[in-house]
Amino acid sequence: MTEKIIDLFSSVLDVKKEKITVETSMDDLPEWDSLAHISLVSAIEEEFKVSMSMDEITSMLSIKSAIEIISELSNN
Amino acid sequence: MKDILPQDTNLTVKTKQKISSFTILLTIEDLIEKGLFSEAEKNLMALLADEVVSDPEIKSKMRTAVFYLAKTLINEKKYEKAVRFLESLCADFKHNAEYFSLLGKSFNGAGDTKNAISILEEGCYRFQDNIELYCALFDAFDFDGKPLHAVNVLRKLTLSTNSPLAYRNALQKIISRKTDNADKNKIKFALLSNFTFDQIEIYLELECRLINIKPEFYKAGYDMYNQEMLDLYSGLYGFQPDIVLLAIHTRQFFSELYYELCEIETRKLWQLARDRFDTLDKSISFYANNSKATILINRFTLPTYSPFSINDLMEKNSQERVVNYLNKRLLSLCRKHGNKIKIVDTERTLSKVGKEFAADETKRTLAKVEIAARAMPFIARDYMRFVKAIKFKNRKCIVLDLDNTLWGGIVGEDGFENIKLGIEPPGNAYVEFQKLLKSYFSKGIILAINSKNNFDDAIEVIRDHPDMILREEHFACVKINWKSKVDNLLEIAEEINLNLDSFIFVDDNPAERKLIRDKLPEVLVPEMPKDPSGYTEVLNKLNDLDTLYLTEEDKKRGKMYMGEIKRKYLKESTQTLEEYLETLKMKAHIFQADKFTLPRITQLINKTNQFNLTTKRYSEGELRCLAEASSSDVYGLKVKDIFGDIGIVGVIINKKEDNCWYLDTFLMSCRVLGRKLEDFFLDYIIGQATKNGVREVWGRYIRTRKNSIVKSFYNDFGFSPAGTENDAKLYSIGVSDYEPKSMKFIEIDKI
Repeated sequence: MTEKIIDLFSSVLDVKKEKITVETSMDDLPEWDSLAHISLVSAIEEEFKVSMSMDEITSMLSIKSAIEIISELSNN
Repeated sequence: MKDILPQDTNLTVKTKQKISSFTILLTIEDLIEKGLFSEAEKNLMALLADEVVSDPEIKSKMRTAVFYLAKTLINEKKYEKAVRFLESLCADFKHNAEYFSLLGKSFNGAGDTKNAISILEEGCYRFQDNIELYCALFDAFDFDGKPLHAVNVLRKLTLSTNSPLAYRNALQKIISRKTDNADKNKIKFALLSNFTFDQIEIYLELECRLINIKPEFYKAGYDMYNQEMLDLYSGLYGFQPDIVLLAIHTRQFFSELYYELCEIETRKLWQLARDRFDTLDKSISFYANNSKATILINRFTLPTYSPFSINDLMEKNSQERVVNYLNKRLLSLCRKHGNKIKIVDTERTLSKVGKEFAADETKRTLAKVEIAARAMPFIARDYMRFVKAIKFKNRKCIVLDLDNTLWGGIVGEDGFENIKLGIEPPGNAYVEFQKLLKSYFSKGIILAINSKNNFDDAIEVIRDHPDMILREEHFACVKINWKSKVDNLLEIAEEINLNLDSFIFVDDNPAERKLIRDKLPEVLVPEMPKDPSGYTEVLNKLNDLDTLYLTEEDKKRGKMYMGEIKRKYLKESTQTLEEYLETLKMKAHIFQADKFTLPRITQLINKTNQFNLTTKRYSEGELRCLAEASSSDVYGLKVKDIFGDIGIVGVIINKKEDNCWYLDTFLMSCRVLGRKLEDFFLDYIIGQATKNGVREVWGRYIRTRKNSIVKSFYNDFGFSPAGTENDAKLYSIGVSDYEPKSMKFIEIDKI
């Protein structure tokens, strides 16, 4: 799943895959701005068939937290 | 393998077998990891042959293992091996989108594009919403050097899924493809909005690339539209867009409508409405007066709830009345600026897809996203109606099959009396479909028939069946015979003189649709449902049949092409060209462009490719400037003949200096080629030059792929070559040296 998420971030943000790791956070990538954040959330929701709440959206500030939130949502 | 099983005798046979299978599966996984593919394959095959596979749990695990092996082989670039392995699987594993996608990819990798295309086409037909299959089919066509087929795959993918994910994948594919010739045809969009709307970009980008246009975007940022439009030095003016998308949401524009409506006094409410719109009006008007862009602004949409709830419609200050007021103001603003501002009917689009479906309360609350990602494909396609019309990418002719398309049943077998057409279902579905087609005919879309039938059987229905809506007079071209539909379509294109990319082909038979898709990929072939009650919806959904404004020529066009066919018959039955032209009794009229004729002149300037000496494109705004300036003239030529009014068919743009006139543009519509109207036109211009004391007239020819027909035009008229300028060949002639062609057969029409 980690790979799928990194792929998705790379595609939505238009950033090379090599630049993104589990440790990457919003501050590391200038492309990851608040507008791109909304596109990321929409893409995640469709790709993983989940629906994120406001809290989850605002706390998804790194790849790591994205993985956690998505795993949690898909397990429920 | 069996010896590693536990030897506990208490276990039932079934459980034992299950454990044994799991163990083998683990071993297989291990073998794949180690790269021992042949070993893994052998074990898998052995397991597949085993009867235990009826257990659903093991079956699902096995499927994972099978596809895992195939995927690994593909990753290792062992494509031939992957093909052999996948093909040897039993039928159980083949009813699966992943199977098609992996086999297709293996064929692709092995360089066998023919088999890749065939297996992936089957897969896409069976699993219509599988993005991966479509993307693999795209790759196969792209490898095979068929860019048009490849693009059509993506068009079908986005249409059949309507999914943002599909759009993103398709966009990646189309950007990464080998042959990208979209660079030549560009369009610049500026996005202005009062809510978060930048996400529309990827949808528009893909839709544009599907029609071979490369878009550029300028995004002004949330709620900056007034400042950007009012400041001549803003990024918006600097960008010089072709199209401005001004997206105004009712909520952000008039938030009081949502909750405070019951509390505001009447006078204050209407004062607010006036003031708010006045501000918007001023910004838009200022921008419209200072730019050449076409502005697409959406209609104000009605909120889904009113503070007056069930009483809203009865109230003096109802939400409905305020929204209506805003929309009326919008309409008069639009009228004031002619064709510069177009209203996009978002209310209709959103009610079609559903306002609840199109809303995402979480993202709206968080980031003012008023339109959810899932509704974006629909919104983008609506904008594309305008874009296609502006860039002349709209389709002009619908070619129709007859049996089971215009009526139910097969006339050659069932007989005239037994075909299904009339008030009884299912005949009423065909009547309705014909009514829709007739409405297209009335606004200028050309209809033609391409049917495999005995001519006499089918034409009898068209002529005499009491419930036919469409008759012979509605079809510009009728091909009823036993020839291939491809040949017929090519003949139709030739006879009505349109490029293949102007056609839509409608046929109930999937095999005929596939044939046209394969052989003539420029033609748009929509997927038709099995049930005729769905036919009208298919055409209504297409965003390829719109024109920016209905000019008088458009409304007449269907009829004009009928005239074209009659003219052809006449051409065959008469002798010399001169005699033929004489029998046409043409009446021509040359005039200077004005606001009534500019829309049609703009159309001609932008879509004429063959008889066009310079193929320069101008927007309506630019043409208006040229027409109004004293240093240039924009001339049009209108013509009538015995078959009817053909309308405006020729344009000359002339740039004037004291002693010299320069013909910047000279074009004739393909409808009137070979009628010597260009001779008449040039005679007139040179006559005007003489009257104005001009000594020389200069012409230029810029070669394109399509205009070789006029490459010796100026030579033929006695002009001398006078050097080159960039791509252009220059020609000049002294006015006194010009010999007018006296055109007896063209009468000057004084209107």
